[in-house]
This record gives sequence, structure tokens and C-alpha cells, in this order.
Amino acid sequence: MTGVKGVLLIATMDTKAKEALYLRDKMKTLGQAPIVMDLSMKRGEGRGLAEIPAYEVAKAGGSTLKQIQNSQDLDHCMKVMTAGAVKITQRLIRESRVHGVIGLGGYRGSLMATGVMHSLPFGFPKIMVSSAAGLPGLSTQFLKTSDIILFHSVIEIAGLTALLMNVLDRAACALSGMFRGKQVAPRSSGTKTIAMTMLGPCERCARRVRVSLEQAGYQVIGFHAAGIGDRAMEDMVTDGLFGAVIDLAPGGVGEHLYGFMRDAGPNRLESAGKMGIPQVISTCGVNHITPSKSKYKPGYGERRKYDLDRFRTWLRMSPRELKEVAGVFARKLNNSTGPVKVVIPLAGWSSVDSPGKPTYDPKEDALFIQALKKRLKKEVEVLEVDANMEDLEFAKAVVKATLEVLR
Amino acid sequence: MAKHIIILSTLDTKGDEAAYLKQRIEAEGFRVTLLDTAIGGEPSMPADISAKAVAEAGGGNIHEIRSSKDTGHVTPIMIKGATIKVQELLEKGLLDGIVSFGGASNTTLATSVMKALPFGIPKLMVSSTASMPAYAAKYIDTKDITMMHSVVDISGLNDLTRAVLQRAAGGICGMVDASDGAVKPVSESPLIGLTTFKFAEACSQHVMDLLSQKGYTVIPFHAQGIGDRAMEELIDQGLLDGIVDLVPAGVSEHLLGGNRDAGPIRLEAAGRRGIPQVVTPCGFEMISCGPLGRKDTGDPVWTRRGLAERKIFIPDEFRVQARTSAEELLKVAEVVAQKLNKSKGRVQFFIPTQGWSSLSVKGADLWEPESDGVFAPALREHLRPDIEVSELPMELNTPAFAETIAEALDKMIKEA
Repeated sequence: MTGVKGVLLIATMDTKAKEALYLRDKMKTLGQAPIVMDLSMKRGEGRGLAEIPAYEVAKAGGSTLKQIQNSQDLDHCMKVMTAGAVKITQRLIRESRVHGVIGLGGYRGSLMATGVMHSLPFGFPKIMVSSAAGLPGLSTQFLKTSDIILFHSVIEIAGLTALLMNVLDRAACALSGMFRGKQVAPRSSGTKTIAMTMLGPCERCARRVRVSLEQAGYQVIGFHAAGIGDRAMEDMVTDGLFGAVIDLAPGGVGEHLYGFMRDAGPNRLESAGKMGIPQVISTCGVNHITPSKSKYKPGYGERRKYDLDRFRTWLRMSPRELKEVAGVFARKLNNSTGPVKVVIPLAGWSSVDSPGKPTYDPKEDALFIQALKKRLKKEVEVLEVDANMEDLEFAKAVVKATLEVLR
Repeated sequence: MAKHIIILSTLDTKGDEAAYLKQRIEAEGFRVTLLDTAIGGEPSMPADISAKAVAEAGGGNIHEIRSSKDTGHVTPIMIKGATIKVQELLEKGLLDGIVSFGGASNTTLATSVMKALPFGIPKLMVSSTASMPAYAAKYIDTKDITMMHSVVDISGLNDLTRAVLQRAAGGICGMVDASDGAVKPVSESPLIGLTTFKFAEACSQHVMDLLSQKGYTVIPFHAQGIGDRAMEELIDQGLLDGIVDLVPAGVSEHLLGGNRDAGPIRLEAAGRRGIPQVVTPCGFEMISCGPLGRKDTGDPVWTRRGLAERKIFIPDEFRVQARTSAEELLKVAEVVAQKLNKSKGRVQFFIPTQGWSSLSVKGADLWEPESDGVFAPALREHLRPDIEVSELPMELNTPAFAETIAEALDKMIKEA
């Protein structure tokens, strides 16, 4: 037994009081100390049963419950309640009264409760029991870049049926299970920990680089650079978790420019430079765009392409786009306050983009390299390696460059 | 006896990580069965159920699979094989929970296998692609899968990946500890499935109260295209004894291209199973067409149906409801009738003529009685004569309407 753990239980008590109280009692029998926080925006039977009532949350959010109840602007009210809940939660954690968070709700409840979870650090146990988890588009909004466990209730959280009690029991036990055993909080070990972006088409390179650097005494944390993992990396770099970044797959920059599937937000490729930590940049996926089929513009159908899977097709960038994206890369990297090296393979930028494949075109890739070199500040070195991204030789060059910038 | 947890992994590249997870689960006192689904190469550690055995169960050959470059073709073989192997373990009482971890490919594979397991068996997927828009909903779909977003790639053992795997081990062990296996139908009180959504809340709450008073247990399902589809699956598994299909909108949304699309087989399971059902037209009067941004981007549903010119309800930018036209309702009536005509059990259809939901009562954003009016005659025209259609001069969200449908269902169940 590791002692009683405080658990924050987030629910809307106007409609889900019975279910929340069942979950609370279950947590108590498991030896936890639950604290219920109510995010109701309407009047209802369960109000007054929470340790942290909705009016306190509204107040912490800079409003009053009365204003919230009378408002027609639900979006705004949800933002207020979420902001208030974040403030209170942060305080409870500082006071060591809360060691894990569990939420239950439908669409709105999930949106607000996960909004609170997004403000909590990586490694802090967080479970969201949601009846809206299976809905297209919503689970993405709930998870964002946070390490939340999303538990699909399948049935509505309305009425304590055998099926729902089964779901709530499992969720409570999952959270208490997460408290068992030793807690591994990520150390902010700094210099010896390196963040690395990767994608399936540069997986071999990523593995070789990781293994080599592990042998040299570093630990390498991988992030899937498809628009979410790479965004999370930027956040964690800003939190000071890493001593360096190897950005093998910064394609999210161009995808953001054009609004496509791997869009990694406006801050991509900037955090490491701002923090002044060393970085090595490469180009996996940078010469391709990934628009969703519904966003195809005229002419996209005729572009050279590679079908990654049923949902994603990589289209070759046009020469104009390559030059435009190179400009954005240069602008972002020129703001770096730490050492930067760019390492580019001359025989294809991924396994998708290798000799013989339909989108392989090193001549057009050269347009990117030229434009980048022209605009980059002189401190940033661009290394060209006569190999494919997935060749052993290229991985070696990345490792060498990394050890150099780390020096 | 110790309970069994299955780890589904690709041992060609994730051997160390799987070994760590196994060790953490065993430290909690559970037995681990390691199942290898790798198509890339030889495992770096021995599996309890090898990739070779999985491939054979799926009707393939692991050597051919490994040399094939066509992952689109070989992945289904491994999914099929792993599903068969996992079912065997379940039948032998050697599966109390399942856990897997990985990126896009393995999450697709492992969640497909998990989907074949019944409601109540703990299923935990640790995924670095859990939050990707293209996949997230497909991974979970209608199942009680617990999705843990790993944020970092689970490649290599480091502080962060160990932290994730440690929590995953705790999570699955906690759930398995508590679980009694698959949820079985409870015979004491009959189970009623009820579909509902926001705009029918008052009615559904009232129906639930009334039916509970009569000794039923009511399970509500959110009619957004997933919950209602899950209900159809639970009906097929024989878990439910009667249905209040208050919001069958998944049918019209499927027909018209709305967000609540519940697929082509919605509104059929109850009839197929022969259990009594009451049905209303709630939700047929609106098309869920958010987010609002689609309006200006040449979205095909918006353009083809001219939604921008219609009555429209916008509670927030994501959930936008446009009014269904009379012409569309005629089509909906025909399809609904075709589906209900196949029913083996009793069906009653109730239409509240003063508003099918809170959005279409007098003064509300989607009020259009002249369009609603075409539905009842069309429905009668296509329905089997023995299926009764009752028009009640009231709003759906009134106690009187709730009482009428609750009593009708109660009567049908008692007479069945």
C-alpha cells in the first residue's frame, strides 16, 4: 500500500450526480480520497453534493454561477468553467491533495474535464470516462497532446445500470492500479535526454540514431510527427524536459502553412531555438503534402503520390511549395539561440521517397536545399549526404552532427 | 488462481518494451501471455503465441507475409489470426484482459482484435497515434476500449516510455482485478434500450423514470451515430428486451449525409431479434452538419443540399443543425418503413405533431410544421398495415407523450 491518494473527480452534478457519487464511493472502497468538483452550468438535483461546488469554479474562472446560468453563450461558459477548474486543480496539486484526476461526462463534460487534464504534467494519472469518445473528431479534441486515458463508456452516463456500473468500476480500478507500483515521474534530466521526431517512412534511421546515442549515454524520446506527437514535443521542449532535439520529420511546418493533416501548429520548429538547446534538423516528409481527400484542390489528383494507408496519401510538393516552405524553415531556424545543423539526404527524404518510387525527384528536392541555404543565417550549417534517409550512412551523419552540436 | 492478461505486441522491434510491460504486470501478480503479431521479422524474444501461429490461424504463412511488401494485404491476415487465437484463450478461461502498445499500424491491428471481445473484458490500448484525427474515432468505434495516449513513441526504454508502460501496467492490472469478465444479461428486470440526444432530453428522462417505476432497467444510448450503433450490436448479442427508439435519426443522417450517420443497418436489429419497439421521428427534422467552417469551404453536403439557405440552429461552432426539407422527409419515411416492415416483433410508431424535438416546437429555430406534415402520410403509405402509426397533437418533450410511449412499450412487452 502506497498510502491514500487524493483523486479529483470532475463531473457535472446537475445531470450526473448519481453516477459521480457511485464512482466516488467506489474510489473510497479502493482506499482513495476522492474530491468531487462540480462543473454544472445549470440547476439540478445533484448540486450541493460536491466538495467543490460549481459556484466556486465559476468564481475562480472570473465569473459567477448566476451569469453562467443566465448566459446563452455556451462556448464562453464552458471556457470560464474550464479556466476556473484549472486554477482550483493546480492549487489542489500544489497542496498535495490530488494525485490523479478522473472525469466522467458526455460531449460537454468531456470537453471541460479534459480541458483541465491538458493543464496537468505528463505522467500525472488522468482518466476520462466519456460517452462521446467514439465520435469522429471528438476524441482528438479530448486527448490533444496530453497523456490521457480515454475510456469509452459505449452507453450513456445516465442511470446506474449494471453496464454502467461495470464501466465505472473498471475506470476506478484502472486509476487506483496506476497508483500501485512505483511511480515513474519523468525527470527533467536535461542535457542527457534528447527528443526526436520520426515517422514510419524514416523508422530505420530513427532506430539507428536512437541506438547509437543510447550507446553514447543519451536517452532518446521518440515523437510521432503526424501533427500531434510533434506538437506535444514542442510543448515538452518548452517545459525544459530535453537537452537537445533531433527533428528528423519536421513536415508539420509545411502542413501548417497549407492546413493539411500533419499540421503541427504555428510554433512547430521554434521551441528548441527559443530554449537555446542544440538541434539537428532533417527533412523526412517535408517534400510531401497530406491533404485529406475532402480538401483536394484541382490538380491534386494528377500529382505524383504514395498511398501510406487507407486514410492517408502523400502527394509530391510542387517546386513553388518547396521554395515557400524552405523560406519558412529558414525564418524559424534563424531565430534559434542555440546551435543548429541541417542534415539532408540527396537520394530521397524517406523510404516513400527513394529511387524507383513514384514521388522520387532529387532535382526538385534541390530547389528546397538551394532556397534554404540562401535564406539561412551563416551560423546554421547545411550538410548534404549522398544517400537515402533510410541508409546507414545517413543515420551515421545524423549521429555525428548531433554529437557535434551537443559539444 | 492468477488472472491472465494478454499482451499483443510486435516482437521484431518492440521486444524490450514488451518485456518491460510483461515484467511490470507479473510484478502485480498476474499471468502474462505474449502474443506476437510482427510482420517485419524474427522476434527478439520468445512469444507464448508466435507470429507464425498467428499467421497460420489467419490462413497465411509467416515467411510469405514477411517477404511481402503489401501491408494492406497481410495486416488483415494477422488481425484474423490474432482474433482467432484471442477467442480461443477467452473460451478456455485464459483471458481476463488485453493490453497493447504502438503507433499507427499496431493500434489499428490491436484495436481490431480487441473489438471482437465482449463488453466488460478490460481492453487497454497505449497508442502514440490515439489523438490523430484520421484514426482516433475508428480505433474506438462502438467498443469499450480504453485508449491511453502515450504522447511519446514507445520505442526504446527511457524515463518517459517506462513511465507510460508502468501506468499502463497499473491500469490494466487494476481493471482486470475488478473485472468479472464479460457482462452477462441480468435476468431480474428486463433491459430496455433507449436512444436519446440533447433535444429529446426531457422526454427521455421522463420515459426512463416511468419505465423504472414499472420495474424495467433502461439503458440510454446517445444517438450520434456511435452510441445508437452500439445499441444495435447489444440487441444482436441478446442483451436487450425492448426498445424505445426515441431518436432514430441515424437513419436519416445516413441517407442525407449528416454527422449522426449510424450506417446502413440502423433500426434493424430489434426487428431482426423480434423484440418490441416504439419509434418516434425525433431527429428526422434536422441534419447535423457542423462544424460551421464547412459552410464556406465548398463542403459537398452543404453545397448539394443548399444548407446555408435553410433554417439553422448553431449552439456552438461544432454542432450545427440544419432543417430537413419536406422532400427529404418523404425519402426518410420510405426508408424507415422498409426497415420496420422487416420486423419480426411488434412495432408502434408515435408522432408528436407539435414538435418532434425541442428544436422544432413553435418558436424554436427549426419549427416548420408544413414540412413535418408530409411525413406521417408517407410513412403510412409504405408501412405494413399491421404497424400502427399514431399522431398525437402535442410536443415530444411533454409528460403526456412520454407516458404514451412508455405505456405502449410496457403493454407490448407484457403481451409478447
